[in-house]
Amino acid sequence: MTISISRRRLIMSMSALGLSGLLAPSVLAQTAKAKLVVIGGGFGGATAARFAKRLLPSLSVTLVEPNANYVACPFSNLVIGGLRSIEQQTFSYGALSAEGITIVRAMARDVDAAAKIVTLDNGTTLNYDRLILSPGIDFRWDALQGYDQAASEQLPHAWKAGAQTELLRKQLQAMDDGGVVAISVTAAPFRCPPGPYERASLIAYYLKKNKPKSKLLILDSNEKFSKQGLFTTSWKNLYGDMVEWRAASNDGRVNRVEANSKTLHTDFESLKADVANIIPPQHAGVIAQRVRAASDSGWCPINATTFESTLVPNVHVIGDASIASPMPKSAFSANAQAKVCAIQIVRLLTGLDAEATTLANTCFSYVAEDKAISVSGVYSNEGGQFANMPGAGGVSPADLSISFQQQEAAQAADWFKAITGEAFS
Amino acid sequence: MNRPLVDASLALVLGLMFIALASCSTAVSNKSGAMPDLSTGVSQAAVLSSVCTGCHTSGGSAKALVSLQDYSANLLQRKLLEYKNEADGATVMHRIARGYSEQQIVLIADYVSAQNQIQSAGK
Ligand SMILES: Cc1cc2nc3c(=O)[nH]c(=O)nc-3n(C[C@H](O)[C@H](O)[C@H](O)COP(=O)(O)OP(=O)(O)OC[C@H]3O[C@@H](n4cnc5c(N)ncnc54)[C@H](O)[C@@H]3O)c2cc1C
Repeated sequence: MTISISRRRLIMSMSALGLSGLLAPSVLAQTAKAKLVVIGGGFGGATAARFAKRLLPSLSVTLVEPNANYVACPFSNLVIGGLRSIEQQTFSYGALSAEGITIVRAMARDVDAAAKIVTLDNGTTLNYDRLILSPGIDFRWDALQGYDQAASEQLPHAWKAGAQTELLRKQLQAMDDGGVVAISVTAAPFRCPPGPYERASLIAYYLKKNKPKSKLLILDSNEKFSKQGLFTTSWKNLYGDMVEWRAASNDGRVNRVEANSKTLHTDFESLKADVANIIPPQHAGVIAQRVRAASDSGWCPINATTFESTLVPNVHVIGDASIASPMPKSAFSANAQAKVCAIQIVRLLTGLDAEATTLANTCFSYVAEDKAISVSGVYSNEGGQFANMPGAGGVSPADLSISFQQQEAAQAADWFKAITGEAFS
Repeated sequence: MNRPLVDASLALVLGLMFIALASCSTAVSNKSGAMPDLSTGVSQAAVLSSVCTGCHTSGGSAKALVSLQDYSANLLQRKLLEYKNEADGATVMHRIARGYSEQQIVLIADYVSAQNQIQSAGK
């Protein structure tokens, strides 16, 4: 078998050169140290830092992140539905430190792109050759009248996981049976397109079990939504008429809120809710605006092949902050983008050209404790543009069998382990 | 424009390494005629395969998703082509495999199995 012999030879020579790394340590010791700084230790940033370090061990990799622990948004709707603890969502950066990544616990405040220097909120500066920005989202507190940071203590967004997730959970627990829960959904684009509707499903799951006389009203600033047919069917089958969805054109758009009275105003109506979850307008993390990597849209235009900002050289943007449509703002996308970006940065640092490739995404959404639906996409990033691969992708079949949904829920659980494993453990 | 940030001697070593490995991987080209470039972690095969591991680990506790370590190049190639070509398949893998060319599938299968062999050799 010539194939297996030559394979073995290949593998032996790869091992001699330092396995999957690029170079043997003796070679690396003699090389100038290139510097990579990563801002944001979420799904994008943590994964990118690890892959870059693994590919090019001589690279100095610094990860800037203000929080000691990361609390993951995916599966946080299960916490809200009472099916999971916040501890199961929480990850530390210990594995990254152990791999030789320098973790700096601070907020990046500014970047001088001409001098290639990051300034932190504690005054320290960091030099870089390449910078990765993966700051996720921040909220546009000014954009929905009445909804500022103080208001979010009464009307939680729970769109960044942690204390806000627990607050929404507690409000649901404290509500009387027969109450009205309202979810206000901002106009696209926002983090996790199917997320509001997964949340609605799992709140309905909780209400049906514990407070069956209650109502759940989704006030939407959009005309349609991700996996709409599948969600709508599931709501009807599982929760009867407990869930009501109102499109923007059906007076669904919330344009003002009053936090103290939990009142949501649409064009023609005022609705007093018992629990109100406001998914507010968003833009790329504030640091992206400071770096001027964000356009007027609030999000960061990039060259899709290299993830380099089209506005600021040597700054690469991945994850929710980037404009990567048709890739959605998901942890799955951030993970794939992080790995491709890390590889392209290592290519560029070692004098190779960047290469286009194919990326994929799958978003699972739970509709009940043990049932999920999914949407997938496959994307080319050739010529600096993202494009759907024709004929690929799509949603779970419409004639959903229970066992198919149970299978997708089991796949989702494995996916969560794999993706958090790549980022944090 | 892309000024290398590592010095010239490193670039030279890298270059030599690519040549050495390229000659190896030529011999690895398989029956469908594609020439897998398995040479480094930054190859086309590596970048394609990097997306797979967001779901599929090698080893570990996965129940519903397969672990990549169990796959030889031939088996993985066959499975992925099945997913790609089963017109009425509805699983996530069917929906994804349709977006990859046969040549890309060969690259992924060869790269993943080479990684498996490196891993088991390291144990
Ligand atoms: C309810 C909900 C459910 C979801 N479910 C799913 C799902 O099932 N599947 C899926 O794929 N996706 C899901 N998502 C989406 C997913 O959470 C995001 O797409 C993902 O977290 C994006 O990764 P990121 O790296 O861009 O940002 P993040 O993960 O948010 O990470 C950003 C990090 O940057 C840090 N940071 C910000 N600014 C600075 C600064 N100036 N200096 C230093 N650090 C900074 C932050 O502290 C944070 O740790 C869900 C989201 C929500 C809200």
